[in-house]
Amino acid sequence: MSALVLQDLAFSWGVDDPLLEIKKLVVKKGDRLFLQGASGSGKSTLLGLLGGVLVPTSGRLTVLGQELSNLSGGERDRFRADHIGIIFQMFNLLPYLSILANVTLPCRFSKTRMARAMANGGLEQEATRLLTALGLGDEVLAKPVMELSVGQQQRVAAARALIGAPELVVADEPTSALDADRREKFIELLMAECAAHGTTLIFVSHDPSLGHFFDRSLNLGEINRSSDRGGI
Amino acid sequence: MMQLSVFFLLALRSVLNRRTTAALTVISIALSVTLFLGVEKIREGAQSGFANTVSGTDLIVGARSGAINLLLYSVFRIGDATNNVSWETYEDIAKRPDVAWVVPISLGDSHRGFRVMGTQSAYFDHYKTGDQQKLKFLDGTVFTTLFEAVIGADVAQELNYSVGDKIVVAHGIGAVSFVKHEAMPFTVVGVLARTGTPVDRTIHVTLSSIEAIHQGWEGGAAPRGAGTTQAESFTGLELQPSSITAVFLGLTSRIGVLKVQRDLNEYAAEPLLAIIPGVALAQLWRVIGIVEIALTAISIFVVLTGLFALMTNILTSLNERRREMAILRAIGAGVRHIFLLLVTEAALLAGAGAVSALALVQLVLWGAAPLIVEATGVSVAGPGISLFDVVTVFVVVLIACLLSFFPAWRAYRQSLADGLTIKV
Repeated sequence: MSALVLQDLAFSWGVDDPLLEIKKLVVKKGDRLFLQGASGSGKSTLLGLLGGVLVPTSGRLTVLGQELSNLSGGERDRFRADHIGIIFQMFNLLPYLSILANVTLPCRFSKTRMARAMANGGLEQEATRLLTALGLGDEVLAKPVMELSVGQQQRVAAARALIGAPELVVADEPTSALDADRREKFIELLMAECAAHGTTLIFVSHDPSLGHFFDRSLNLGEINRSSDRGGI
Repeated sequence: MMQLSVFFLLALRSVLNRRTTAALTVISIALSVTLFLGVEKIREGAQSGFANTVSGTDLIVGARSGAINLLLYSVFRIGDATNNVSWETYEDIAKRPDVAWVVPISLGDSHRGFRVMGTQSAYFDHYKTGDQQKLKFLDGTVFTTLFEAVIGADVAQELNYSVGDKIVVAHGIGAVSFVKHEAMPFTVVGVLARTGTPVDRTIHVTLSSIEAIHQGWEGGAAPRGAGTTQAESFTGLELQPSSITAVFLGLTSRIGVLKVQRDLNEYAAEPLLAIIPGVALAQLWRVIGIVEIALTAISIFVVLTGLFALMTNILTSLNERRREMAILRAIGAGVRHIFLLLVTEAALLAGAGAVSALALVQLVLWGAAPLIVEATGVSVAGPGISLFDVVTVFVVVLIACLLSFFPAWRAYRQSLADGLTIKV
């Protein structure tokens, strides 16, 4: 089964001039896809659609076998909580929660992910395991979130996206705030964790040099037929 | 489905993260609710104090006028009697088998703005204030003979009088009187403890003394020339007044109060009015209670102001919290969760403020209730949380939640528009 199927998908705020228009995109389960796109290529729109925050104006959007437009707003929120981990470009963490509380938060929104984390030896244990695997040892865990470096913050965000083993992880420019060394290290760690759990990864970045890390690389500007018409 | 505890935790942590503004909001709500609860406590105290201005007296009888008028001049020493009650009528009332005790009073003179009241020593046995409290003596004793006076706490304090001082009574009731009973000064023999009632502003003398100082004044003016009577000339003389201003009376059985009241109101020999003090006091309170309503209204508006400040605070925080909202949504929060989160936050802030107010009021009552009684005579309730207090806290939290619907709705719209895009 495919993790993701987009067919004749279009999205626009008004009646005309769609922001995103994709004829066909299929991502297999366990695939790690690199989507290269400059700003204005429809990245934010695609992220909103995958997350179920936006609904396609027309066409099919099937995530993990579920046609998202068949779900209500609340059901899409729950679907996102249960099945999708999201990593933003930066400022991923809630400054008023501890590192562990940030990482375990998705499980408080989703019984499914909570159950999976518990099956892996307990919520905090699983969070600590993920953080350690991503290179954040015990000496870091006690620190307030705001004292972490940007690279450390992104790794905490990755652990949060991965906890409770969601089937799909969407990363939106997660490395753009990192320098080259840390960028490679981050991607390697993220890929390793996804590989270990068969997680499908969609990695969006404007930087084409990262493409070689991934199984498959696509240019969003090319597959989005609306972008050459001057969409935002 | 997400549990409520998560909302609570997130709202609490988020509020604590903005602890300076949150603390200010809590303080403004705490102060406004403290004012509201405090006004209510004082109002309760004033009302129950007022209702007990006179207690233990079953009926007050005077010449026929209005009930409130009779109450005003006999108990509050405000205004004048339109007419007197004859001594014969007084004796007739006293003889009734269902009457346990009678105390006559006679008003009309004053001393430096304080009313002088002629009565009998039985007054101090039967006249009660507050919760059936007899009048207590701070110093000295009851008068026993002519030209002795027992003064209330305000009189003693404001005029700096104590036992042994001489006072001259003026004819009439003005603060400045040109006609004085100078020939017959009174000696202070007793000072009463504060009651918070008009007793504090009264100078009590014997009925015979009132009669004595008016000997020869039947024409309404001072006797002229050498006819001026001196105090010494009355020693040992029993003076019987021909009329009195009003009568306080107690019954052998309170069950008969309405019957006695009716009998007296239909008294054939002269037109009388008998009032039940509690009923007349309640009528009077309805008139002056307007002040209390105004006070309560003001304090309600202050509380609303505090709650609007809370709403403003949450509203202004929204813009800087767009990232927080987007992160929560990415993790799986729905827009309705965002809405609920903000309502929870408002409830937390308002709850903290209202509960602090409750504690503050208790603290003040615990520390200051005795001082308030001493200074004003208004006995506010001691520490203790009433149902009213608890209801107030709940209502404040409820209103805060309702008001927070506006910022919550804004956040909801904002969150819908932003989606998973982080706007910094």
